[in-house]
Amino acid sequence: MNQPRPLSPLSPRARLLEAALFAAARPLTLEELATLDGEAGEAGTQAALDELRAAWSGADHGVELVELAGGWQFLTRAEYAEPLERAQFALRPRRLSPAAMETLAIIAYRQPVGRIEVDEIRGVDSGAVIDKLLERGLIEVVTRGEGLGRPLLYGTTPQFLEILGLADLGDLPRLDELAVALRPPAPAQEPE
Amino acid sequence: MEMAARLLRIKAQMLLPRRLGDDEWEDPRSELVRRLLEYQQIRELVGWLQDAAARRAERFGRGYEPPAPELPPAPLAIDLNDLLAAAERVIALIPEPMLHRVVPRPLDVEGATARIHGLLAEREEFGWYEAIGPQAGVVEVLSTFIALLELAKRGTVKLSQPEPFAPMVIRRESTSSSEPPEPPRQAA
Repeated sequence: MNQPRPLSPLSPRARLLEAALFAAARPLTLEELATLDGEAGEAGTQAALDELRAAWSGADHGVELVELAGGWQFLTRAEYAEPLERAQFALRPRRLSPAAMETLAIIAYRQPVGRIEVDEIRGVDSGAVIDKLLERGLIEVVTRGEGLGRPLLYGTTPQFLEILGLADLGDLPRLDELAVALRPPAPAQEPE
Repeated sequence: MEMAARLLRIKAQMLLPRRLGDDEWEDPRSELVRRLLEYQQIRELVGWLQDAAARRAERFGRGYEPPAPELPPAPLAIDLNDLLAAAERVIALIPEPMLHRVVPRPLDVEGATARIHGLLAEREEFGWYEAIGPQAGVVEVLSTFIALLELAKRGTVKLSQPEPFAPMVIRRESTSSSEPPEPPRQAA
């Protein structure tokens, strides 16, 4: 048996954060972590968190500390997905339908956005898809529009970031990075 | 439908004459191209999101509750007898059609007329029950009633009813004789 490489011991504050992050079944924000130790403050908590991230950053562990939906969460490493799933300790969630992804993409980039605009871009009725996304908690009503009937306007939720493994909306690709870059309202000659 | 309308409108705008150097004019196709590009962009984003979701799905958090597996419907395990029994149950549920047998019953109006004439010859006035006679069936009652109405029309008898729902009273008309088949001739 190989003797494991001795780790530098974590500070008591980092160990407290580690315990909280281990116990929680969802991402914990810095503010939430700061409530663990009233004396730490945001700066102290951030320092403890950095210490913890450094300790878990290498490939020495089966789990990693991931920044997710504005918080932090321990997740198993991707290379163990197959054996964990085969042993039925965990199952990959079902994939979203292409229609649902399309609607999510439009809402993520245009939020707050109403149903009519989503329908217009997709060219089909999106009512049922929007209802399903609301039910799954991936989008929510953020405000009402100014127009006729004050339509409901939708935006994405932290749950949306979580299922995509994003820290925040800034992790989404920028529109001008895409192969099809739109320069509205340019006459748009080359369709490539 | 909407797309067809839009394409038609673009075609119409392209066919319309336009002045040279008209800055206001905008190629109607550009709107369509913009929309197509916009949608293509969304498709590209969908690909990116799907990759991100697939990468995230390979990492499990604590307290992950796997969704309940969707069981396929159990295969049918029935034999021919079950099938026949089921078919019988369905057939038993079909309501029996209500059939009525329609029997032609010839009314004997002439016979009734003759009977009334016989009664009129004996008496000036008699009641409904006497007219229909003892043990009268539906056919006799109807025949008698029609005969009475016919006779009353001809003026041979006068029908009256002392009070509502009381039996009719049949009275010989003073002008008529006991030979009713020829009343017009008598009147003339």
